[in-house]
Amino acid sequence: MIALWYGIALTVVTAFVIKAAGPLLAGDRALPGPARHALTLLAPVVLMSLVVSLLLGPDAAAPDVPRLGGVTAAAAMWLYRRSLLPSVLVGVVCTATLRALLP
Amino acid sequence: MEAVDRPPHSPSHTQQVSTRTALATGIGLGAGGFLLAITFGALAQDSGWGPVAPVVASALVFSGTAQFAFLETFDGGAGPWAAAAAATMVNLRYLPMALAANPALKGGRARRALEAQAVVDSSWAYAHRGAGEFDRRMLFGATAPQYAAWVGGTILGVVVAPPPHVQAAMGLDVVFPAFCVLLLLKELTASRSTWLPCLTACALVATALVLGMSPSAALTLGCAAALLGLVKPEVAT
Repeated sequence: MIALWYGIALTVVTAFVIKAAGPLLAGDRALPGPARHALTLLAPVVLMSLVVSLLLGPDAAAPDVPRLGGVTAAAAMWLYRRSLLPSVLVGVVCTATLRALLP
Repeated sequence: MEAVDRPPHSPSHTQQVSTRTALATGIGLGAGGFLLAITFGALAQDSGWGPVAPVVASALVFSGTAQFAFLETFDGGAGPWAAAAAATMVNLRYLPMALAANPALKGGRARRALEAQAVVDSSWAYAHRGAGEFDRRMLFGATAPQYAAWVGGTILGVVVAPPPHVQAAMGLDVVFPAFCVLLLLKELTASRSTWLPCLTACALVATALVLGMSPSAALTLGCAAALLGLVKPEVAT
């Protein structure tokens, strides 16, 4: 339990520092182009890594099919409507339905 | 909280939105965060975090992707440092975002550093008026309701905390992966320069998982794809 609190405390500090660092240190100056671009790329790259990791999971040979179906439905809904909540709800309903129907 | 809805319209460069409009925007955005926060609270409670830690994390970290990244990594068996590192990497996008919003903040450097805590994805996107200008009232007005929804949703999730099999039957376990996919789609459709690094990350993580590496190790490996930004900065958009 103490490890959990260490981790949370560290995350709290880094979350604060990341947002504060720009105004505190850089002032009105911008980061160098390559560094700014690498930082900008980090978010989509982490998201992609998270998505693959979450969908394949530790057992990459047997992914969760209802969950894959739900995510696909949510993505399709977002591409159609560009709205978060309805897309997530479609994903939830699709996953629950597939779980109920599939053996 | 993070949301992928796009602003339906942007005010002109000189016009600032009313506080009421900003708050209404934040309430709408907070609805999605509320659902995600319930899931986070319930999952954390089921993972043995107890009732306090999830609420403290939501109140002080205030980042859905970072908190879920922490939860997934920590529950995957990684230590607190690795879990915090995963959360921090996800949060690094706020560095350039807070820098960009800096002109809309007020006061000296310390006050600006505090005010920069209001930067979250959706508020930042709605507050952006183009040409590097930000609507200060929208930035703070849209964030406040989302913060309340995020913390309130986490408390509700901790209190209700349906068992994992009930969450799975209801399809709630898809909320975070779907949320990540929607954020990713937003990034991919906004800039083609993200495609190659993301495909590289996808290949790296999938290969690592097939080879039997742990999800946290695969995640760390995939993040190395961001280094492509240092090699080909000229494709930045």
